[in-house]
Amino acid sequence: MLNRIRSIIGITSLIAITAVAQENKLLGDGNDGNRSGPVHLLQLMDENGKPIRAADKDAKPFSTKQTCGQCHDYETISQGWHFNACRQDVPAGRNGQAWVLSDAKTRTQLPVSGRGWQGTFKPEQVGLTAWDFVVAFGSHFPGGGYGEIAATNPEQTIRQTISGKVEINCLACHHADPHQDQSLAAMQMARQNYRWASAASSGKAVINGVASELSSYFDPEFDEGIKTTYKDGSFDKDNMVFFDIVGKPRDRQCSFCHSSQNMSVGEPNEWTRDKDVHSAAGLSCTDCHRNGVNHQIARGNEDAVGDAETLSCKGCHFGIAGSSAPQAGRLGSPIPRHAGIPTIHFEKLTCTACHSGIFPDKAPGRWRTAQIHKLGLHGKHKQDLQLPHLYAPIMLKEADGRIGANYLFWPAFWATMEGDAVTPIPLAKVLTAAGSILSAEVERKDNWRPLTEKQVAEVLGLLSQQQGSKPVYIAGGKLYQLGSKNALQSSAHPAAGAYAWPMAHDVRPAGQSLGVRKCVDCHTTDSPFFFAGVELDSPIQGGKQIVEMVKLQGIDRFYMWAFNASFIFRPMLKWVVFSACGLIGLVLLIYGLKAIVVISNACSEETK
Amino acid sequence: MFQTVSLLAFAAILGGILLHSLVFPCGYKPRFTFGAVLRKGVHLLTLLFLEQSRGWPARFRKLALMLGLLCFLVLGLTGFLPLLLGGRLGGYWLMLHATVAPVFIACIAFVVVSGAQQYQFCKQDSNQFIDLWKTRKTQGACCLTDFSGASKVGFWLLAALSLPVALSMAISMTPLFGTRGQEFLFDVHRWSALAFALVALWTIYLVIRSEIRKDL
Repeated sequence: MLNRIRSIIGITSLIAITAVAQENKLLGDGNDGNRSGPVHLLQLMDENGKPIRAADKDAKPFSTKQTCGQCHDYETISQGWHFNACRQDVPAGRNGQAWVLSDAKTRTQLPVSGRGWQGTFKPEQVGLTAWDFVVAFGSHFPGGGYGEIAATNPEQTIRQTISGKVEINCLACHHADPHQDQSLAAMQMARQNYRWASAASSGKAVINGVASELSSYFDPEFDEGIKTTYKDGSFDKDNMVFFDIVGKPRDRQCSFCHSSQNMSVGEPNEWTRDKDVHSAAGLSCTDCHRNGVNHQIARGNEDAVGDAETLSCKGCHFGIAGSSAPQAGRLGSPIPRHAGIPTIHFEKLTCTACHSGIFPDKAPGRWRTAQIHKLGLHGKHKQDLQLPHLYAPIMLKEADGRIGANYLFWPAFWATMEGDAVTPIPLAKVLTAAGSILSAEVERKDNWRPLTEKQVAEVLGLLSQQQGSKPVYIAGGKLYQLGSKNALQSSAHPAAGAYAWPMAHDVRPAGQSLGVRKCVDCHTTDSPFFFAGVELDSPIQGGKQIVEMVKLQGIDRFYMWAFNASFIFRPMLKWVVFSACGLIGLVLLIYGLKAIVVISNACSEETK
Repeated sequence: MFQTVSLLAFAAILGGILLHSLVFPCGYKPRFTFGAVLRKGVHLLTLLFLEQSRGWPARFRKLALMLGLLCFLVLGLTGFLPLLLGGRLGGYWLMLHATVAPVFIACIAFVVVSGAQQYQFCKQDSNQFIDLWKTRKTQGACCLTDFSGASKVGFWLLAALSLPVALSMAISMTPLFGTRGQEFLFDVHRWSALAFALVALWTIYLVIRSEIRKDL
């Protein structure tokens, strides 16, 4: 009886919880299974939740939080992968592309990420507030996260009142209208017109005014500030606005932030580059990098669990061993044969090692990415950033110990050192202490403003007067510090190591993968896979220094050389083994036949 | 699983050899006297169990056998020791393994070609088996292991097992097989290598035993 009562209470509670959940579920968060998708004819709302009408005299920019939030759970979405880097309760995941804090004067290029990836610094560690973070990286910032953290610094609080917060720009990904222009969003971000960025890039409105130029005493009630003008025809007679919203973002929308450029191809020859083999086959980015309402986008990791398990290279092409239904060949992917490749390769290498990026060369080329080098900006705010120099493909051991193709750059920054711990010095402090040396105009060399070792020593001397702990400079894989008699000393240090992250795309077709020309693609005594020379990029003047890939892989050079050299004898080995086996087989055959004859004779004699 | 099976199999074969030598001692003389141990040691070190012959073919055969035994030792150590210790074959051990392997298979080929005639089964083997069976209680010999055909069984088994051991790796170096095939070939290599090692240990024991028994 008691159990029955418990069951009834349990079922009732479950129904009640489900009902509440259903009640909280917004119109756009469900999916009734109809694949045609809804038409998005929307009532625009400003950031205070007030409807925007065509006839509004002083029109406000629409707020994605309020407008999209009418039907979609903004809070749930804001916990998605693109927006949650600032949250402490989110697992870091494998290393990815970090933001790079670059400054030409202080010769700084510092990997920054709120996720705490190894080799990066959190914004607060480098003296960046959430506001500073958005100012530094706004051009390709998707909104949410740091963009919605309330400023605490009084000056920044005032600026945030004028500029607004950076809400998630839902349209950046989901607005398929050809007028959607992220370059315009980037321009608004550069002007600190944060609350206007989504409207400006949507193609529905024109924004005039620059928030960063407005006085801190600006009063929107009385002063002329930033003007929003909705384009004619944006509103229908019911003051509704049509947005061409797609659930699955188009590739061009992903590409705004996720493009990379091979600098060795050169701008005039950009047309010669092939696209990723998956794109060429008709797949879109979101066919693999999918997500649900929570926007936890599948990153393609092999260690993903649950529904994303088969959305990795291995999961999609091979399926999951032991699954109840066949899963290999998802989306029509071919099941690789990997003929003649010993299975040890799959334990030692990631799929990307052989299939991603460009075919390895003896000197890995320089690359740029949209996020780090602010690619994709058009018009007057177009930039042509060359630093930091990214190198790829660099074959490095990844977190799981397997070698994969990576992007790499060498961090450069001023820091203090206590014990072995290195903490970057905020750029402003460096300039305050040593601006006289660092700000001097010099001719650029290889995009850097070069520094002499003497200048580094002088800056360290000045920083030591200002900082409590020992100042150091990190560049080109070395840590520089003042030794006895203020002489500059350089040494290796873990904090001076390169920052690298996996290079997943573009994937090359099987016919262009490593190993297609047999073992010699990698196993020669001068193969780029192991012995390519990676530039130790640094502003410090001196001879160009190179480090071999095998050293970055943490493999003993002599061993790798000897192992690769042994492949010279491999044809001979095969010849010996096949010949020997042929002889043994022949002997076994002859004596086997003889045995049969003996048995046959014995049987016939017995019969006689 | 392979690690566990290997560990158990080696323990079983070595334990079996020990037990067998205790249950069926080689002779009536005390087995652990200084002289007996020295004699057995000399047998082992000089491989006196092989027939001493002055002809060049026999000398080559002996050389091939000695070299083959050395290779077997190296291959066994490099192949099984890292595995039994919980690791895997790699690095310099793998290089040594792959360097010695072709020498080993060449030695086996030479020994098989040159010894096939000698290791043919004959009427005498079965007669000796019957004799031993009859006199097993008085002679203290094991009719299954101490008849002349026992080492011949080992010879032919080893010859046959050497084929999958060697071919599985050589074929995997050609583009004939894909991933599944490669995995299969690797499994064939290690399981047949395990079988080869066990048969080889047992055969070596039998050869030593029969040579010691000849001295009685």
